[in-house]
Amino acid sequence: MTERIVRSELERAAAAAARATDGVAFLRPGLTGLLRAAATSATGSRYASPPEGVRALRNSADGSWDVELRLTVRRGHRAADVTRAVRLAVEMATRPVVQGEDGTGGGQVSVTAIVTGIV
Amino acid sequence: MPGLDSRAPGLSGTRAELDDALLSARAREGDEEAFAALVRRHAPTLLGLANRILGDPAEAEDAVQDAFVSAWRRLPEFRGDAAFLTWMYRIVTNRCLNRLRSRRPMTDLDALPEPAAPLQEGSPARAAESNAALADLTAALAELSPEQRACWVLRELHLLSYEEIAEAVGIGPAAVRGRIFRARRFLTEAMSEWR
Amino acid sequence: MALNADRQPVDGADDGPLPCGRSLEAVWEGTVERGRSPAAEAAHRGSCPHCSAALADLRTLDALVTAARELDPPGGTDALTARVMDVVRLELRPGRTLPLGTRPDDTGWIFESAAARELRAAADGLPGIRAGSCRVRPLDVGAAEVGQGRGPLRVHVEVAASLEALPTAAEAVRGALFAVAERVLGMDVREIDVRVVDVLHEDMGTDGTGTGHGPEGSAG
Repeated sequence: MTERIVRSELERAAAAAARATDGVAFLRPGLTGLLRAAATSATGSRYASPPEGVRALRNSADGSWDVELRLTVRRGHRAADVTRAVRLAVEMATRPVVQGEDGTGGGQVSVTAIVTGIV
Repeated sequence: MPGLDSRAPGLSGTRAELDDALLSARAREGDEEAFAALVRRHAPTLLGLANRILGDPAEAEDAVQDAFVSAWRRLPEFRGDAAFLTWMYRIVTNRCLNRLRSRRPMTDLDALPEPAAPLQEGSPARAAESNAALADLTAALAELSPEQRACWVLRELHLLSYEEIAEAVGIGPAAVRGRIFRARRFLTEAMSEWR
Repeated sequence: MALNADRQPVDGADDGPLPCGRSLEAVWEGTVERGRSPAAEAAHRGSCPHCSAALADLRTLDALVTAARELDPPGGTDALTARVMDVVRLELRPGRTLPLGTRPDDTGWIFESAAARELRAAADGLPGIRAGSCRVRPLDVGAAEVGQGRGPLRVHVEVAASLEALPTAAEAVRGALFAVAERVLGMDVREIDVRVVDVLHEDMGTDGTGTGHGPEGSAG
């Protein structure tokens, strides 16, 4: 698979795992984020901060992947516990995507979750 | 020697200002709800100001909306050493004056907005008279220069101090005094039939 | 009076005195020109028809202005507020992030503004306390650069406190904020600096039941 396909598959798996994690309200912000993301990619900026949601980037040095998620936490859940649970869930969900890669993935995914708010 | 110019001081030292200080500190750090509270609190006043300076309610809404959005973006540079409302007066006045300067002079008096509905107290005849007099005042205001109108409105309708007006309009306090005097002179003459 | 081509009064045009020789500006402002005596002026203005007319003109205008002031401002501003906030909420304000979680393998972060909201809300919940600025910084700025910036933190918070709450304000705020940092956030906050920046008066800010509510708490 090409890098672009791996990336989009990683992002899809990561988003699904995060949304299913207890205490995650949403991967912000929904429609406006999509609109802004569309505008961002139209200008060709690969390194622009995603409005919210998920972004996967490959490290050219060793072929490993960084997955960054931005999410809101549901009130009543400790934020640090939620980010920890998200990390574990996303690591588990993305491992199959990069395993068995011939040449495009080092099989390593590091996950960072950023809380944008508590709702 | 009685003058008609003694007024309460400008905006400083009010209890609402303390709350504004807390809200603007929070808004500066990204607290959107605090900013929304500031908007709700001050939009009516600033809308009144813009409406009087621009003479057009739709333009006034645009100007005030733009001013608040601009204020949100510039909040990090707002140090809180002046009152938030004083700062907003400056932003709104500046936008209104820029709009006026880019307009051609208004000579068509039919373009003036209808005055607001009068208060319900008093006889209908008096209400009608008050309405017509205010319509004349509004028309006369339109004939002042932008700076004269801004200075006069900020002083007479918003009770700002000369220093605050100077800040808002971007001229010195002495020039403010001069503008207000000339505005009053023109307006008293224009309103002489209502003596 | 001199008007320019656009029929607008020209600033700096002649400031001719009233027919009695007094400056119109001085009469209107109730001031005395240099070289005149206050006593003589008072006597003159009391009886001079020109001065009296000038003051009457100004009073007429002033009465209208008072009426105009009562009519302003124009209608509702809900729509305007909503439009402003629509734009504000879409704005990207990246801001700094703070580490969440204290285990070695924790990688979570939270935006400072999001953490500050929770911390401020905890202070606002205390009777007689209203929070203002709230910043969260690395405890040791130097060390933060060496590691991955995931070290312990210090909170700086400013509050207004009522006279009643003042004596115990710092301690109460500290307690509430430490609790939030631990239970709601899971952030390693080691120190909390509380600055009381102003006195809260009884009829302002909190709703009187001692449970201050958010930014809309001001009595009108």
